[in-house]
This record gives sequence, structure tokens and C-alpha cells, in this order.
Amino acid sequence: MKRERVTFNQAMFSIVLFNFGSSVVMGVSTGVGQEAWIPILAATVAAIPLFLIFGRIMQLFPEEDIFGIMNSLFGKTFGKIGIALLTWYAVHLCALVLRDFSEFTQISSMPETPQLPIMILMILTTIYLARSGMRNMGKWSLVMFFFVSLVVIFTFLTAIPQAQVDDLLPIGSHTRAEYFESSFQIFSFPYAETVIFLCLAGSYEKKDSPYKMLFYALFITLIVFVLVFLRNLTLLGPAMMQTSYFPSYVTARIIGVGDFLARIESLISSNFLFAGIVKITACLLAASKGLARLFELEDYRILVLPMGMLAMALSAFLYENTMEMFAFLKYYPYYAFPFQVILPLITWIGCEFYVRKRRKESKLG
Amino acid sequence: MLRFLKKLCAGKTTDIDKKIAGLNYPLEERKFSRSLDENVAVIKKLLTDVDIAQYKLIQSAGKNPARYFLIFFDGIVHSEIVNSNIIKPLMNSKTEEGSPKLEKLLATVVQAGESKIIDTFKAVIESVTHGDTVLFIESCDQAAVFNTRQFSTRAITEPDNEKVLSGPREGFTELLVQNLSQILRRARTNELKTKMMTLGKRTQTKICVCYLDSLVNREVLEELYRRLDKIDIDGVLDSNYITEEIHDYPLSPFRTVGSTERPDVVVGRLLEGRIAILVDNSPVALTVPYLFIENFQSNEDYYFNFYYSSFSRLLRILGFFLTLSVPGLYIAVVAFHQEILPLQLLMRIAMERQSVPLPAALEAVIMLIVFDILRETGVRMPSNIGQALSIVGALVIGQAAVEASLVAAPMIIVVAATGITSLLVPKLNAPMIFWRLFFLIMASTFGFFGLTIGLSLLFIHLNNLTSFGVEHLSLKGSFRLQENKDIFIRFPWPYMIDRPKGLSRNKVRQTGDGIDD
Amino acid sequence: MLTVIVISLFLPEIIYDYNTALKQAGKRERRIYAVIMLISFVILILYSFKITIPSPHGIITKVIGSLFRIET
Repeated sequence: MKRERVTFNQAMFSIVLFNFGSSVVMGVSTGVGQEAWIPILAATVAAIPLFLIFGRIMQLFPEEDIFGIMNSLFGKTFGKIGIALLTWYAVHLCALVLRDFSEFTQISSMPETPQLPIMILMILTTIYLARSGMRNMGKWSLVMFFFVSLVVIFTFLTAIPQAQVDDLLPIGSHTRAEYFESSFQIFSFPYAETVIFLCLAGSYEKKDSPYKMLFYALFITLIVFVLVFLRNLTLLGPAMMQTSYFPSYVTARIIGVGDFLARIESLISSNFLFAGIVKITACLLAASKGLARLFELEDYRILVLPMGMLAMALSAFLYENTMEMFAFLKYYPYYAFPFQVILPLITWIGCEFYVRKRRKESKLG
Repeated sequence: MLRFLKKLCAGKTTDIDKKIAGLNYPLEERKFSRSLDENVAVIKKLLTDVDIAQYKLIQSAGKNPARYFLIFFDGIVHSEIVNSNIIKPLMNSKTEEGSPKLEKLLATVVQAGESKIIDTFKAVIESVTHGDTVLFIESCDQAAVFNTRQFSTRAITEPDNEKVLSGPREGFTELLVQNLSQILRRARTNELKTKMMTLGKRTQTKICVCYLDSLVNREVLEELYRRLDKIDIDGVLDSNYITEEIHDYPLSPFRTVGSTERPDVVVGRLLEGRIAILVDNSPVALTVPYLFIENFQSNEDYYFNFYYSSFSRLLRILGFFLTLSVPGLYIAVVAFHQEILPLQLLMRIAMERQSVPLPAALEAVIMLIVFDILRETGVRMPSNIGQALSIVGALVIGQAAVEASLVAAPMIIVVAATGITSLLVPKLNAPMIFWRLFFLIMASTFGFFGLTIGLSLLFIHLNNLTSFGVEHLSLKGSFRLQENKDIFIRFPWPYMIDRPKGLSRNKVRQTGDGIDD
Repeated sequence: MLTVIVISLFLPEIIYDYNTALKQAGKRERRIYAVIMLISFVILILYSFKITIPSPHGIITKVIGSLFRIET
């Protein structure tokens, strides 16, 4: 079979949409209220070295995903431990995002419907998309990026008449620990989650550098996050933004287009689903690829459906209620740190050594 | 020696029937024997009860009269040619010693422009059923075929479902040769390759694969031949038989093979590197590969002012989305998200709806089916009772049903909007009926969420489709202007420098000197 | 109600896959497929009966809470 290739723009926009994923829904709200732009910027800066590492790994092994790299670098046992860890993380993340979106859908538009049917519909769609392959996901992201960003820009523009710029002040009213904690949160959710794309690497078209791809994606994400934050803050004010579960949804309730379309929140909120689907699909693909690598199977596509079902089962009993879901957000950065930073870091160091060694050998030989 | 042979033949004549009956393998596969009588017997056996077949035994003039045997089918031959150009010269010819040579006969006696030599009975059947005349001569295991075809055909008219306001009005007819001539007139180059094939075990339908040699994508061409070779069908009566046989995804409701009845469209697509397949006895030509955006393109786009055609192309795309989603949107709003509507509108809709017994979703399904019934009747019925239909449609179903509170008035508007917008993209009518219904069901159970999921599934499905290895929905994410000049809007001709990517080997359509890209 | 949904989700999936993708798959693939499907099916059936399964988050939050002292 011919290996499907993902073009530069397709890959970039899937990373962007992945980063939007649940963040656009949950709003980029943190403990620091009106100053959230500071942690957003800080997290972006902190993400730069991480993305450099990701880019370097992709550049050194353009034909391999991180599972394959681990396998060839660390031998069978250690490689498999790494693969298992990342696979677990991918499944878990998949379940988390699925849960985020089913909670969101339930709260925003269908309070009487149980969550399971919502989850089933979402996971079936993502399974279909994941089975269709990477390139299909890229095409999806390409089109949906425009829809999602169009909605973000549209809501931003319509929010302007009601915006209260005073809400941005005062600056510097929080402690350093609070800033750090918020930055760490934004860093690990969503930026560092891009580690999932290391699992999907190996099928990108080679003519453009992975650095360019990652940093364009980072830049676009940053802009959208700032827009979302500004819109939410100036409409809701810091207190309300912090207390509401889904600030973007609440914002959309306030926004009205003239007198005619006064409450378009359900239309807008279902649009965010498109980004969520990309995130779930990417996680699902990564999980199935990891599992296939773990058991040394040829084709990962057959595993997409069971993995999707597993993720759904997982997300069904992860939390008992929405409160727990938001409570876990505090722990998440610490929990995810080993998967997001330490594992890629070790892999990168291994890569560098491997490449040096090979270069020496080729010089000698 | 000769006499001995003759004697032998004469002795055999009585046994020929027996001999033929004893032959095991199919007669069609048999080659000619050297004996004229045996050949004639086999032919007559093959054409038992085919009363349309005409046999003619001729003897030439001269001392040593040679015997000739002619066979042709009545009604599809030009009898004038058969009489004056074949029979008459043969009768008048003077044979020399020995049996006449077939080649010499063709060269000196028979006055026919197109002729060839065959040696199997299968070829005889193929030729005579096509209006040719076959000539057998004595003691020769070959026969000659003369082109004496004459069919009655339809005149060239403008195809009914591809009408244009301006531009060429010719359409294809059922005759393959005539269709080819229309294409050839528009592309007068030796690069235009026309490859003939025969399909259908019983119908022996001729098809012709046309492409421009320097533009065509070789991989697509090979794939096409591979699929055509695989076809093992009994009969081909229309090009749609072939469409479904060579489809990438036979079960998908969307077509991945294009079709047109206009020679100008065929040549336009050939010039983009596509391949056309013409089928004898069908006025519909096929083109591959077929991209999704072609559903929204029309040949008229290129004959009109580009502002106008860009606008109408955008309208078609909008129409596609509307006709898919309007019923679903309405149901989602009415059943789940009433808050979207302004209060007054909501009140009016609620007032209309309260007297209607059916739930909104069921109402929508019924009305959509009613619309499709009306549409189907409109196509099938004789044109002179069209008035009756419009009265039934407009008055009975529209007005009376609303006044009797069987249907809510907004629903009529929704169905009308759906129906009218579906006419904007007639090529997508078949898949849209099903997807529309699917969206309706999704929206009635899950509101906007269901609608979003439905749209997603449709989009993924479209992305999965390929047409001969080329992606049906091409989304490479290129922002280069040159690759997007004929997608949503049509740029003026001087600016369309490149051909659509991935279709053709040769990208450059025109050099485009002096135009900044 | 939820039980019916879960069963009517799994049945067509397995039937469909059995007739298409699983036919060409090797023994290993089939075994892993079956195991994972079974696990998720059991979990979802239990969930549909409203039987609570201990969430992995309990352990995660405990471990991290003791390591970093996070106040909730």
C-alpha cells in the first residue's frame, strides 16, 4: 500500500485544531482571572523549547513515529515500557477529551439526555475519521479550522459593542505561585499535549521543516487563545469567567446579532465539536498505533474501534460529575508531565546519541 | 487435380449437415474451411431462424464461372452499395484459370472503400450484425468484409438536461461514430487518441476511450484499462452500466465517474487531462477522474462573464448546503433550540404548530416524500397533463393541507426551499435525498449536536472517496492562487494558467506571459 | 435503556468488523481485538447498571496530592 502523505498545511492545522480542542470550549481560564494573558504568554514561551525538542525528533527521524524510535533506541523491554506509557496516556487523554465534550454538550444543549448516547455518537464519528487515516484527518482539520476560527472571530467582533475593557485591570494582583500554577496549567493543557503528534509523525511531507510546522501552529493557537480570552473576559468579567464551567458557552449566550438572532449559543457551541473531534481522533490514532507497536502488529486500523470503545468505557466512569472533572484539572499538569516532557526528553537525548554514533561510524567506515 | 477436389467436395456436400452436427466446440470459434459449401452450411446453421439475414449466391461471367457467396442483414445495409458496387462488378468480372484470389478481387473488382479480411465465423457474426456485407469465395479459408452500414439515427439536438443560454448547443446522439466526429471537430490533433473496445458478451457494445496523449495522467489511464478489462457483463445498454462497473466505491451514493451529453464538455475535460469513455448506443459520455467540485461546475460557467458564473457557482454550493440541512435545521430549532428564534417568530411558529397533530420530524419526512413524489411524477408523466400536477401540488398539498391544519405553514416553506435548492445541483440529487433524511433523523434526536455529527460523517465519507486514485474532494491546503482559480470562483481565462493539479501530466495550460501570479 | 443502547452498539460493530476487517487480520490481531472489546463491553454494561467502578483518578490524585501538596 502506498503510504499516505500529509501535507504541510494539513498537519499544521490539525495541530492547531488539536490545541483548540477542549480549550476553546473550556475557555482559557485560570486562577488568575483578568490577568490570564500573562500565563498564556508564559506558557507559550515555555512551550518553545519543548516544541524545539519535538521538531528535532521529527527532523532526525522523518519516517518514524516516536514508538518506532523508542523501539530502536532503547531495546525491546525499555522501548516497550515507553510505548506502553505513551499509549496509556493517549487513551486516557482521549477519554478525558471525550468526557469534556459530552459534559459540554449535555450542559449546553441537552440537559435531559444521558451522556452515553452523546459519547457514542462522538466516538463513532471519531472512529470513522481515524479509520480513514491521517490524511483524512488533515483534510478535516483544514476545513474545520476555518469554521472554528470564523466563529471565534465572529463572536469576538460581535462581542465588541458589549465589551468592558476595564475588566483587564488591575495587573499584578496575584502571587508568583499563582502565576506559575496557571502557566503550568496552560502549558500542559493544551500545548504539551502536542506530544500526541509525535506518535503520529512519520507521514508528513518532507519538503518543509517540522520546526516551521510546529511554530506556525503554536503562533496561530496563541492568537486564538488571546482572542478567546479577551472576548470571555471583557464580556463576563473576571469573577464570572472563573466560576463558570464553560465560559465560552456563557459568552455565546450573551452575544446577540442585532435583535433577530439573540441567542445563538447552541449553534456556536456545536461548532466547537469540530475541534474536539480532531483532538479525540488524534489521541485515538496514537493509542491504536502504540498498541499495535506494543504487540508488534502490522495494521493499526483494526485496533481503532476497540480502542475507541475502551476510551469511551474509560470516560464513562472517570468522573461521577462535572465538579470532579474540573477538580482533576488541578492535578492534571503534574500527572501529565512525565508523558508530555520527560518521555520525549529522554527520547530526544537517545536520538542525539544515536545520531552521533552513527555519524562517527560512517566517518570511520 | 481440380476435378478430384470438386468431386471430393460434391461427395461431401450431402454429409455436411451430419458433419456440422457432430462438431463439438462452438461453431463461432471455428475457422473457415476451404470448401465454400461447408462454410455456407455452417453460416446457415448459425443463423437458423434469423430471417433478417440475406444470402446471395453469385456466379461470375466468363468461361470458368467462379462462385461467390454474399451474406448481409436486411435493413441495416445500404442496398444501393451492395447492388451496384459489390454484386454487379462480381457478376461482370471475368475469372481466369484457377480460383480467384481474394486480395485481387478486393483490389480490382469490388468497389468498396472500407474492407478487411477475416477468417472466423465469430467475425462474420460481428460484421453482419453491424451492417457489413461478407463475401465468401470458393476454395479459400478467408472472407472479405465490406462496410455497407446504413442506420437511421436521431438528429443532433441540444440535450434536454444540459441546456445552456449561450454557447454551443450540440449534443451527443446514440451513434458512436457520430459522437466521435463531434469530438474530433473540436480537437483536431493527432494527440487525441481513440481506443476502441468491445464490452458485453451478448450485446457486443463498442466503447471508445478518448484522451489527449500529452496531457493524460498515465496512472489513471492504466487503472481505467485495468477496470474495463475486468468487466464481464452480459449487456451494456447505457453508459451507466459501465459507470457502476468501474466505480471506486460501488456502494457510495456519490458518483465518482462524470457524465455529460455535450461534446464541448467532453473536450473541455480532455483538455484538463481527463479521460472520456464513449459508449455506442448511449448519448451519455463518461469522464474520469471525477472530482466533487465538478458537481458544481457547469460548462456554461466558461461561456459567460466570469463574475456572473462565479456568482452562480457560489450559489450552487450554497444550494447544496441548504438543501441538505434546511429540514434538519428547522427540526432542530423547533424541537430543541427554540431560543434561537426571535420571540415573535417563535410565537407564530408555535401557533401554527399547535393545531397540527403530527410531531415536527414526522411531518418533515412526510412532506419531503411528498415533494419527491411530485418530482418523480413530473419526470415520468406525459407533458400535456403537467397542468394537472401543478394544480394538485400547489393547491391541494400546499394551500388546502395548511388550511386543514394537516401541515404547518412553515413546514411548507421549508420543504419548498429544500426542493428548489436541490434543483441547483441536479447532479447530486440522488445522494442528497438520503443524506437529507439522515440529517433530519439526527437533528430530531440530538438537535444541533446531531446535525453536527451528521455533517461530520458526510464530510468524512466524501473525504474517503477517490476517483481512479485521485481524491474526490481535493483538500491539499494550498493557498497558492493558481491552484484555486477554478474551484469556488472562476477566474477569467487569461489568469487560469495551470490545469487542475493531479489530473494532468502537463501542468501548464498557457504560458501566461505578462500576467503577475 | 442504557443497557439496550450498549448492546445495540456493540453487536453491529462486531458483525460489521467480523465481515470486513477481521477477515484478513491475523490471529494475534483478532485476539487483541476480542480482549479489548470484551473489557470495554463489560465496563459499559456495568456502567449501564449504575455500578460504580473505582476511577483511576482516585489513585492519581492521591499520589500527586501527597507529592506536591495541592489544595483543592
